[in-house]
Amino acid sequence: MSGQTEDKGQGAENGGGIVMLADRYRLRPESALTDLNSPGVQAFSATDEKGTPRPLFALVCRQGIAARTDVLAQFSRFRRMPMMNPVRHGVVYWPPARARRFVIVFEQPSGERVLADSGATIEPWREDRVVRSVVQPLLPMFKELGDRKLSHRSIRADNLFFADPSRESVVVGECFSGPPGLAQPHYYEPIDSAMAMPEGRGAGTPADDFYALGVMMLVLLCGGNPVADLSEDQVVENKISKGSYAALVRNTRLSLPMVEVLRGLLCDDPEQRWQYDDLNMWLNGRHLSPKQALLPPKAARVFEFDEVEYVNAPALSHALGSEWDKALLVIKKKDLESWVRRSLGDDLQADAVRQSSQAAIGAAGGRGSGEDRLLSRVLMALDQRAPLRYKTVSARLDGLAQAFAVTYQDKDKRQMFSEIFTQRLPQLWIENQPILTPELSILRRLYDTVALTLSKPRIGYGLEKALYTSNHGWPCQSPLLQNDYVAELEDLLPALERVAQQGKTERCPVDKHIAGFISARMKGSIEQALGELGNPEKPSVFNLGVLRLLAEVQRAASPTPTPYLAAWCVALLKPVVEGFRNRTRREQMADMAMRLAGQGNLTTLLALIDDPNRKAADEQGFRNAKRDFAALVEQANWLRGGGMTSPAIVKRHAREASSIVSSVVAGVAVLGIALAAVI
Amino acid sequence: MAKAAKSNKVAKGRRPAMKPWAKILIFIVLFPFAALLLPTTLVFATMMAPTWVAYITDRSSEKHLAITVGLLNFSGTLPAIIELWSRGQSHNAAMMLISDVFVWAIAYGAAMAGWVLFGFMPSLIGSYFKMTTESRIRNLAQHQKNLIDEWGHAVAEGAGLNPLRDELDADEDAGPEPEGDDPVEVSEAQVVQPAEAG
Repeated sequence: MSGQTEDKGQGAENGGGIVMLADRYRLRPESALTDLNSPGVQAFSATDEKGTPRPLFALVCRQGIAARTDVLAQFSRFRRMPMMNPVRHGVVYWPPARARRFVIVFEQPSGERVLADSGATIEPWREDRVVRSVVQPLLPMFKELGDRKLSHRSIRADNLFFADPSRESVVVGECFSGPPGLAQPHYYEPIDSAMAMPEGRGAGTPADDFYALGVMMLVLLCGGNPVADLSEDQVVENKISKGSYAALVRNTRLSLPMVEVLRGLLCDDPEQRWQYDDLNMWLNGRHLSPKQALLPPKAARVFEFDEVEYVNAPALSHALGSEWDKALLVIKKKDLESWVRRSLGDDLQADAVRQSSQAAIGAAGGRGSGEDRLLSRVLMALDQRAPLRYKTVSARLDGLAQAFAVTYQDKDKRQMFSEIFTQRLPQLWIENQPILTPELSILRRLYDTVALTLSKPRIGYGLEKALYTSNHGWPCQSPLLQNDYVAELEDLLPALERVAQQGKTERCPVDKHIAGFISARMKGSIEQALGELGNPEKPSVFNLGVLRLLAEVQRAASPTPTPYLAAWCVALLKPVVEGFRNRTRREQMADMAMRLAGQGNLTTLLALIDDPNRKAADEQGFRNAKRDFAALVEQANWLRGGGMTSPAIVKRHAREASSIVSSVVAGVAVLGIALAAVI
Repeated sequence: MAKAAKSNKVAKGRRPAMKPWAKILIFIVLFPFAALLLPTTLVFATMMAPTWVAYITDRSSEKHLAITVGLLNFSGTLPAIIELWSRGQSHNAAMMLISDVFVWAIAYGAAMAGWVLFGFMPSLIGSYFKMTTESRIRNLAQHQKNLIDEWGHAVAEGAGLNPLRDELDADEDAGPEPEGDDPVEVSEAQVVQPAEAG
């Protein structure tokens, strides 16, 4: 399989419900493979119609949620790795949903799933089997991922398949059908990621995969979830207070080598956590000293919050972040600062808490976003490594944008994210870190851009642009495209063409989402079009902006003719054409616009409608016509006022006329008399 | 300005009155001829009497009445002059012609025709101008309609009170409203104080 490039819009609908991807892979909507489903994503049978016959399956991704297209191409380059590699991916029309969906085709694994689901239990594996069947076969994959600084983020026992019927080896399942980390059970995640909401875990680093490998080994050794009896908050709190190893292993009996490897993989400090080299040495029999849990400083006395006693700042921070309203009351007292200063003995942390608390006390009366911002800062001060927390939002910084995107349809969450970005909380979180890494610098620039975008609450900016700016592969959420999947700019006009072809042209082809999507994806300037779109009360200006924006997209990214879309635009341009004064010109333009629409070239259509010379000629012609009309009125007034029929005028002309007539008659008479006399 | 223009117009319409020295000069030049051709002068002066009367009674500077009557009067007198000259231009012949009723009838009849022409010409000209005015007004209304059809009612904005509104309204009632134009009603306020053009 060399052709693993992304296919866009090549899927074809077949009357019999058969769907083709790239004219090669036949997807069968009627043949569901539930065993191969990913969380929230259904699997269906697929076949390669042109290549070697082999069992394939396709995952049909959810509408409105982006697949991991940023890593799909990179993962597809891996060969002979113990993982499900994508064979092909693209967008196809999916008959059961009556919509276009993003699908990824994989080779079917030869064996079944190791653990049916995250809550299932199996016969505990022996340690040597875990090492022989899991660690050893998967190690090359971890090396590849680590070398390329890629993270899988779906390393878990229920995403593990036996590589063959003999069950002697395993392969890791897919990680592309949804945002990274979203489907991971909380106990597979390091502390900071487990504290975050699932949508906000982010792509993380290869160290997160090694952590998940450690948990997966433990799950296999235990035959299931080792902390099934604890709630998510309890697991997180135990991890904070005792360290991940102690929190997860608990009373499980392990050999010393297994203790060694699990301590290394479950180390809470990502810098100290075992990676490929450590694991490889361990497999080769070189025993390393077990990593000791890095526990937070313990306070001399407890801090009671919500009837629970806390003895370290990170655990308290986590609890405060989980009970936002109660935490707001806490930061208004001085107890927290004095506890940090006296019991923890950390003056820097205490000063940071004091500054935030003092400001909170000074805040006027009722609760406002200022208090929430200060609480968020207090939580940052209490636990630097914890995710950014704000009300019910909790996300790692590299997962913040992703969480914003996944929860975008939730109005309350959307508002919270808007406040987070406009109050520059991500930047504050970064400033609070002891070291500014290059990754953090990139994120700071990104969130600076997002804040700037949000400061312009008009079409083409605002939350919509922020969504697409911070999530590069996220599909456009426009209601117009609800039955389509448009993640790239070049897919937009073909999608709108399909909408127009279906006759769904009641609405304008550009809404806030589409404008924001274009604004985020376009490299060139579209300020003029966005400026025109800022006048919705003037249809002639707004609709011209619509055409200009779409023409820019066609010129920049999608040169395919779009006659139906052009005809849609022509219908919208009626107010623009009516803006011309001259009727003949209007009729000519309407005819020409319809002819150009047939060619599907929006740029030519724009050139016709938005021709400054034509406009100037029309205005000049109108001025001349006004002048002519005024002259006609003046003439009419003169005539009606007796300009030719007043007695004086008539008398004057009559006198002149009688002289002339008399002259003529006399001349003729004299001539006749003279002739008669001569003859 | 308007007053000055009016006075200029009036001055331009009137022929400057002949100066006294010019009249004297003409008299001095003509007097020898009149004396030399005394019979002809007698007949001419007698038969052209209506012209002298018209000249005196016509108060206008252009003397159109005198011209109208004079020219016809002259054409009526000319046969008598020719007859006089054919008889040798004697005093007897002149007296015979002067005493001839037929000569008087021709000369004075021609003068009367000039007078009648001058008297009836205003009504003729008035009727003609009235017809012409109506025709021109119809043409103007048609031009206005064409402009409105081509440019819309906005073209009439600021043009002041249009006396042809009735004609345009009648045309519009007869035909469909041009598509895409907003009808512009000229309000009473606009009539009193026309909007500025443009």
